[in-house]
Amino acid sequence: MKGKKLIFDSLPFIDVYKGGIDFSLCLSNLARSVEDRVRYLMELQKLSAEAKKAGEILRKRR
Amino acid sequence: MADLERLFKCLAKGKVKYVLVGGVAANIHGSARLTNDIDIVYERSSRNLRNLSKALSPFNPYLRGAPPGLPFKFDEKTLKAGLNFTLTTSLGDIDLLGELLGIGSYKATAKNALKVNLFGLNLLCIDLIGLIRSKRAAGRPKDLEAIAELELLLERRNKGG
Repeated sequence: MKGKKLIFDSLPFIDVYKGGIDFSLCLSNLARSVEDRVRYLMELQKLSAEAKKAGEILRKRR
Repeated sequence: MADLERLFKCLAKGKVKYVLVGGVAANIHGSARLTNDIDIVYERSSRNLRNLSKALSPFNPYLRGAPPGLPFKFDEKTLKAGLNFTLTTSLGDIDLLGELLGIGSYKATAKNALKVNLFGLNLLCIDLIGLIRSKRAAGRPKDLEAIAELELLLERRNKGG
């Protein structure tokens, strides 16, 4: 994933978000192969869909 | 939720020319953010529009968020008449972009794209710089945190990480 070096102009309204990023999650992702990153994303999507479904069932019960 | 493997294989089988962009591309570059759709920039030659419509038609593409029953026909003619399409399919939500903000057409997007081996296929994926440039150009408030994360990934890479 090496590419051309390019530094973007710093934008304060973007920089302010950098402190809140949990970069350890990115490092975990980078430790995976490219294909495993995508497979992991698909697992997260499944989990998200299940959570959404569970929330809908819960709301109907109330 | 998108069946990415099946989608990529189907596009490859249909000889569709495209570049992977958006959240899935960000994930490939190391982003840990969850995305539920897939964004591609497609080439707009007649042949590619035909290939794209043939490849996706079996998966019932329809305008995402539109009321059911609209006379929407996903074919070469429709693709030619439009540019960017946000679709729902049985493989998941897919955004077809004729142009990417801040970058341009397929040709411009493909120029600095990376070849990525995924599911036994060689795909073109937008590079990290292009991804940041496009998200900055889009100027959507919801992207600010995503841009910050991508810039941190770029800073790490430029430091040799």
